[in-house]
Amino acid sequence: MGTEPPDRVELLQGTLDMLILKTLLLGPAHGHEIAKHLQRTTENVLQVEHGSLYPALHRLERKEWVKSKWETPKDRNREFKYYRLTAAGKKQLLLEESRWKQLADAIARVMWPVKEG
Amino acid sequence: MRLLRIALHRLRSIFRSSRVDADLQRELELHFDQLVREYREEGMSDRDARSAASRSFGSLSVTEELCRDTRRVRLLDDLGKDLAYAWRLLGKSPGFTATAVFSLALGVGANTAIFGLVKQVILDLLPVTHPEQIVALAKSSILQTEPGNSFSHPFLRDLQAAPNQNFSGFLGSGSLGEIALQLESGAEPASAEFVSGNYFELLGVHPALGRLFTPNDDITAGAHPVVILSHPFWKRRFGADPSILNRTIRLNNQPFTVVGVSAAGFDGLDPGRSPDLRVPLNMVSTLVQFPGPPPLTNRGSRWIQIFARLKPGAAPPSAAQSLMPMLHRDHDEDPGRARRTAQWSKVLASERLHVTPAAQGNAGQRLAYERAIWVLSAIVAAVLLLACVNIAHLLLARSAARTHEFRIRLAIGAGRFRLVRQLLTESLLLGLLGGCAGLFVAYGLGRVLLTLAISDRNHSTLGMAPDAALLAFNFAVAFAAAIGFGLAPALQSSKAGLAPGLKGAHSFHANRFTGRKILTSLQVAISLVLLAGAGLFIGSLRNLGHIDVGFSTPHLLQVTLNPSGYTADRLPGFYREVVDQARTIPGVQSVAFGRQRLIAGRSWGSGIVVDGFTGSDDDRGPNRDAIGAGYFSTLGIPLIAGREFNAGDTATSPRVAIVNEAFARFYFGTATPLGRRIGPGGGKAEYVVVGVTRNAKYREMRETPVRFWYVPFDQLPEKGAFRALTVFVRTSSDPGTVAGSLRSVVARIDRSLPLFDIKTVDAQIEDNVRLERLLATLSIFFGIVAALLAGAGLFGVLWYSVSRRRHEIGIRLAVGARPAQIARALLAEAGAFIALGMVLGVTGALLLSSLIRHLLFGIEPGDPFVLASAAAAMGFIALLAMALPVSQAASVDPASVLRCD
Repeated sequence: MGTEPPDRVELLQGTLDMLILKTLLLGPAHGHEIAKHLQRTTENVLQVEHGSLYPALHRLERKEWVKSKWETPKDRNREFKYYRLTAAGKKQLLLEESRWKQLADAIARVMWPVKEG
Repeated sequence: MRLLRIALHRLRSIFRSSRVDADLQRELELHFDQLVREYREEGMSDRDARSAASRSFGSLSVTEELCRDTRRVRLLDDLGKDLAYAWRLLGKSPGFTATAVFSLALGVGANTAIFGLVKQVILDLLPVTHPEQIVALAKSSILQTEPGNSFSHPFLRDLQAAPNQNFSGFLGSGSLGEIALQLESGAEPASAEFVSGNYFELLGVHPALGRLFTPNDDITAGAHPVVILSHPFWKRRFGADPSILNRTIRLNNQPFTVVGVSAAGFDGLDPGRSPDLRVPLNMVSTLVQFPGPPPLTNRGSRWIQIFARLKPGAAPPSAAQSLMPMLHRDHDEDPGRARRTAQWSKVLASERLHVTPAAQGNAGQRLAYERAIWVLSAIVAAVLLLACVNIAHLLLARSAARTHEFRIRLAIGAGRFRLVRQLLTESLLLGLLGGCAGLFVAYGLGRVLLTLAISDRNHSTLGMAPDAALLAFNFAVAFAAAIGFGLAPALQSSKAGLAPGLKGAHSFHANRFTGRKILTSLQVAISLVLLAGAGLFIGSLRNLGHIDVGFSTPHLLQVTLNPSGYTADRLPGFYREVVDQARTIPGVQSVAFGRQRLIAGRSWGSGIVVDGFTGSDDDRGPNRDAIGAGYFSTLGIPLIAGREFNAGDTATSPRVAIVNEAFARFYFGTATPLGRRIGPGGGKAEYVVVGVTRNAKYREMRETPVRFWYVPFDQLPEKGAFRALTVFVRTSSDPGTVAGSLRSVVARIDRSLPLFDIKTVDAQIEDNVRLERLLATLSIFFGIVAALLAGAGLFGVLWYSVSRRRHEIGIRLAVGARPAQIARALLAEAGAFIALGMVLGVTGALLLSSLIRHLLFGIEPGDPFVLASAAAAMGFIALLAMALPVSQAASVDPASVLRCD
């Protein structure tokens, strides 16, 4: 298989879910758009295999945090499957955001302890 | 609500899976195409763009699988695919499928049929409320060590009257044979049961029509002419006509009113038998004549079976103990106690009561069949085992041919578990097909079983109705068998698939199939045991058939008449007229009458006093009969001394008697019995012996020689007590044709008299050996099936072994071995494990046959002739099975075999 490019970062499943939800907060998108967004915003640090988005998307759909629909965008003549955030999904996003912040704080305290005094 | 929606979503996924799949594919492909387009816009070539896109995207198929996983219907999906694949595969090899399904159907169906019997005769509980509380009362003593359950009416009344903390009630029932049912159409026999007033109430049975008895229906002797029909009888005889309610019918010429019909499915407390009518106990004297004092008040007349309902929490042993005071009171209140001998008092003091659970009804009929049914269960289980081993062999052979397919599947990522699951699904599908076919086998076999096992179809409760429990059992066995024969091949095949496969390589290591050979030895052993068992049963049956019954059986009809309501002096004239009229029927050679039916399981004894002989008090004495003129010549019993009764022996002439050899030897030793005086027990020895007959079988086929004495019917002191007599008709041709004429002859004399139990003595004897015939027939049938299965298994393994070793054989032939040597080597190898099987089989037969000792007659369990025949039969089948593979091995053409290298 060869070595992975050194920039690729392993993502936990829960984290990917959170990123997808956040992406969709900005508006409905289809799988390719989400992938491109993630890549662009992180300046290619986060290069997930595009395929791995789909099991996550389907799982999110099953949990009813996102909704999907086949739509034709105005500037194209093809149908794409667009995903959008639901109300429950928004709530889940806030929950995951606060969890992530807690996790990040905890790790930071270990890595860079604040000196007393 | 959300859960419901998720569940619906999953269900939708199952049913619209193809649409959902297409959807998914479209989505993924779109994304992939987008990527390709972008890379091409960057300037890559089409090929490079595609490979870059697939690096970015990942594997399409894996993504698809992962998405499908999230739907979590994978298991069902896979199962569906496995089944479809298995179905196609089975269709492609019809020979294999047919053989496997047929063998399985035979094994499963046989087990289901026997289970039907097990369930009905051994397992089923009575259809009453709380059957586990129902118990039977029994009594044992030093004279009667096997507890008997016959009690007197006064004793029942005592029990019912005294409150007892262990019991919530006692009921009594008694059967005294058949009575005459007189309708407009004529007279016919019906079976009747006398029951106490609380019978139905205590059991918790409901009426299907009208009402059932209450204790008010059983208070005064002869004052309750009411009758209840059983449901099967109502259906069979009156077509379930509700207008029968409150109609008056005549039983033994007495009017009775039909007050109700008992619930369907209730057949009484004797499993397997269903009396047609039930009347209150107090009506017994109206319908049946008892010798001696009236049966309702006579403590010495024990004809009632007592059952009771235990209170919850009561323990049977202490409950029995609590009834002992009642038993002692019964002894004390017997008016005949003054005449008791010291010996008899000792016997009475030793009497003990037993309370036994009767949730399945009275034990009587059951015990007789129980042992036989267990033996049959073991036999069919063995047959199923043999069939499963054969199917396992077939599957292994087939799987070996599919190794290539397995390797491919493992290579593209199927786990080993997945492969095993696929193979097990194939086996389960075979199990399903075998189970369905097995139902037909079970039905057919069940009908054969019933014909063999039951003599009285009308009054038997055994049937072959389809039943949820039977169906469940059938498929449970089929699937268990499927797992049994499928698991090992599945595991082994998946392992074989993993082994590195060299294309075209031939393994030179010893491909010995040891496991399979041992299995085949076991098959041979099991078949040998079954064949030996069958041989023993056939031997028993033959021995029974060769018993010298002491009289001439062909073309002998016996029929019982019961002119109840006739006065005692009318009887001799009536029977003489019947005999005279019957003699005029064309085809009749001779006619006679007597009291006892032949080989009918009944006997009559009244003790004996013999002039000049004092016997011990606890000897039961001889059995006896009262007969008319010409009895011995009609029956063909030879006289070895003295004379027959003749017209000169009347009510007023000197009393005479005839005895049999056993009687003579016991009471008179070597001296001649002629001229000696004998008499009934407790009476005067006023009968002079005028003749001696050869011994015969009187009560049943298997009895040891019984002492017997006869008196002329005319000379019986109390003829009125013996209205029911048996008429014997010897015909020159088929007795069946005479039966009809006999019926009209009797009807002409008295229209109200039915003919009871009109049956040939041959049929009666057949009935007596019904069980042995059942065992012999079924065991030889299954024995042969088993032997054929073992032979087929043997053939299969050998054939397969030869075909796998063709290359090896070819080389041997090429380097100079002769075909005969090859054949010999193969025979020796096969012979070794066949011999092992035979040795195991003989040992097994010797060990197991001692278990069936009680079912055999006149033959020892270890009979060497039977063992030798079974071994010879098995050996013959083994030789046949070996013939083709060995000749195949010998005729291998080395050139062609070595060429396909």
